[in-house]
Amino acid sequence: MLLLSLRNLTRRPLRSALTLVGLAIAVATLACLSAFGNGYERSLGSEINGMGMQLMLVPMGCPYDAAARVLRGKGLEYSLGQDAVEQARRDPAVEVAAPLLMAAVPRVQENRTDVWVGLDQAARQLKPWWNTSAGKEWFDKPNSVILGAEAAELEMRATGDKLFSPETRHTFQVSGVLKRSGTSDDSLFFVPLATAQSMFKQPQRITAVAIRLRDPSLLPEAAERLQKIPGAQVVTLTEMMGTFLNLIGAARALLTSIAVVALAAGALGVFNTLLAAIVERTGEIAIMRALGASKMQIFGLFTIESLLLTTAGSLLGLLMVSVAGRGFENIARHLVPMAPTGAILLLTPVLMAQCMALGAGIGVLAGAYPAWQATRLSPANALKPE
Amino acid sequence: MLGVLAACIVTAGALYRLAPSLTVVEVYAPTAKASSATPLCPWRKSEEDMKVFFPGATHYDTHIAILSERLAQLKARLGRWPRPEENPFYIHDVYADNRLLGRVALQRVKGEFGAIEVVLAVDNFGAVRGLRLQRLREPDVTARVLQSPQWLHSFRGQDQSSVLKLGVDVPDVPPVAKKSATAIVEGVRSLLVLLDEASQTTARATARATARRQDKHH
Repeated sequence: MLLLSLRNLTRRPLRSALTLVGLAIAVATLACLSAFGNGYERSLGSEINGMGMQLMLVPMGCPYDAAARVLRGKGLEYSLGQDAVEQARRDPAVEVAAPLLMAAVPRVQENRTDVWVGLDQAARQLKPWWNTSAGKEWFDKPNSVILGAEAAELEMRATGDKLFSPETRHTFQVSGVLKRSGTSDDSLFFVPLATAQSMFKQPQRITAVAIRLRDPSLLPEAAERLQKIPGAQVVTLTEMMGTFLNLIGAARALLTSIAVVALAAGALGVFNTLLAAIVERTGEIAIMRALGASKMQIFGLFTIESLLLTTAGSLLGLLMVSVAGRGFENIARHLVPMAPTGAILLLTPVLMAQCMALGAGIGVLAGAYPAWQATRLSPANALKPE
Repeated sequence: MLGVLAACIVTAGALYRLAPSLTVVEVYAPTAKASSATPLCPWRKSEEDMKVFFPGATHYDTHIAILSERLAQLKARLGRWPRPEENPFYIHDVYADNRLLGRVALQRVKGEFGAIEVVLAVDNFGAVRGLRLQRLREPDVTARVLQSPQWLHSFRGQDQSSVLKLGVDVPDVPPVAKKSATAIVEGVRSLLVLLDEASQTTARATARATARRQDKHH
């Protein structure tokens, strides 16, 4: 019966191919969106977990915007007093509180911004991946600078070289170059906190405090206590991740509805193809019935045709995602907020199986009515000459 | 099915008949049109530089020279292997309408306090027409020396055969600017060599293509 169904489908190759491609595009869209959702969530989660901290103290204002700016290596317009660090460190739940001072120096002519980050020793405990490919692991002098891999490449600097900041008129000596991490750290200029404060005329001021707790389960109580530090507000990274996922979720819901419409169109295509096939093959069906084929066998024949079409369409769709997925990922990376640096398109075997099952389901549903119509043909009427 | 097969046969037959006129003449072109990818050292103020180096220039056209076949010669002439950003090599041809006025090429060099971006303009004979430092992060005292018009103008007329050494072809500078000035001079020399090799590669490729075309005619 499978062979017969295949032969029937190849009788009208163009029609079958068009139906198949329509369905493939719909399945590819849906698979892409689902893979994007999974990948984004996992990648963002691993990036946030990899930061080694659970919450941040930022100046009063929109907490998510503030934290996002700090995480993306952009400066804040407002700052916190450095005493906030001491207050945070006094909290019994806090294991590490690392102050950061970030300042962005736009270089308009070069169409880029130098981002300087002032750190103290505590920050090293939060950056387990902090590894230099050359030079020292930490600042050895107040005028030391550690460069991200890209920053070093851009400025052609190596350990021991000098680096001048024309805007702040400070001269540094490169004490180390970080290994490429694939994060925003790659393009940053790290200097001791006190140096950064003097460079940017922000004595005793910081832009954020990154905090790691002794026990993550203490987060709610710790957040409540830290919230009382004057001028500061607490942003937990879980909250941040939730906000980003909500933002993405809204866009994803809209796109999913488009994909569902595309799938419905694909299903209608299958429906139409099979219905047309029944009209064309009325005589043939009647002969089959006259020769003893049961209604169940006729139903099965058309259901298999439909299943073959949709399964092949789903396979083609998944193949399209596998081939063109990287391109989609690149486009999505430029469009979504806070795109993580890891892969944001995650096409798992489970997802592929789900797409295949969906394709098969559509096949059964779209083929049911035409197959039922085929079983209702009366051999005597169908073979009656007009 | 038969219809599709027939269509294929007819199309194949038509293509076969048309084949001679469709034959692509094989030309090995070592230069290619610039892709949309930005080079590591882009020409940041192209319009302003064009006006200064080539008064009357109307536009420029960027192409990429692939110098892979000249690596050994480049190593011998530069005294080092070409850096990844030198091959492929971006060349900007400057025109006044359809007349080629000269070329502009750029190079990043390692200054004492950060990278320095050199913009070099040469005429059609490969002699320096102008030089500008489009980016540097040297302290004021060094920057003043390096950007002084007298020092930059001293490069004019130099070409790939010049020795190009501080105190020889180019005036010496105070010790404070020596390291960066040496880097700039070396950068200019590299650019002149790269431009020369690129033009030789293009000339050879054109000659090869012409010879091949003539062989085909015979």
